[in-house]
Amino acid sequence: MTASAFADRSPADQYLVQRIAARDQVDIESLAALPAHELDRLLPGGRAAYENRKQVAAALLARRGIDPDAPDYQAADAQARDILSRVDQLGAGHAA
Amino acid sequence: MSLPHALLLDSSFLVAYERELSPRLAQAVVVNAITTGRLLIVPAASLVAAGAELGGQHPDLSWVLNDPTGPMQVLALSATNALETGEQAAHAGSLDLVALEVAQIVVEAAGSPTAVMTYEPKRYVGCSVQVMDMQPR
Repeated sequence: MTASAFADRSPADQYLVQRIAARDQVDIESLAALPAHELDRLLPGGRAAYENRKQVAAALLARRGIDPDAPDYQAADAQARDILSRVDQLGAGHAA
Repeated sequence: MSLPHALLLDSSFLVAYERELSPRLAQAVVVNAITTGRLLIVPAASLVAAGAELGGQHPDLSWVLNDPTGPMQVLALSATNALETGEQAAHAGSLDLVALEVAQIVVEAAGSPTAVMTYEPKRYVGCSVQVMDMQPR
């Protein structure tokens, strides 16, 4: 199995592969070639959770009483995006 | 463990997620990670350390953790990694909760692209993990 097998999977499959790998403490390469239905069998409900992730995020904000359009949250959101961009730069440096 | 683009949340991040009121940076990071499909992983030892600090006041962490298909995946301590975590902590010279937490994070994330999200970057000095300092620049 090559690293590209993981990269060639759909975003949803990649999410499921990573989640199962973390849960079962196995390499992603050992899961990346499995068919989608097998990933679904290994993580029931995982694909739906991925597909509904925007609703999950909205529910999380609503639970905290956070208005996503409020200026203070917008500022935090911009800072969070910058942090995640820097995380990706860390990852790119690691891969290089 | 090599999980591209995954975020590993340590206890300082989890405590901030529960307590931060303004700015709600930890919460915004979690929300952005969820919407962009990033995996959020939480070592079991980080949960223990956060639980000790939060003293039973963790309704929002519990809410996101109690759903098995929820947005955070807990990294268990098991036959696969518990002995190695204990050994790593002993090498570091301390056996308090944070030392055990750092030991599990090192066992899980050393040499991998997984970013450790933390408000306490000094904990990881000398460790071969990718650290993202959440403190304001």
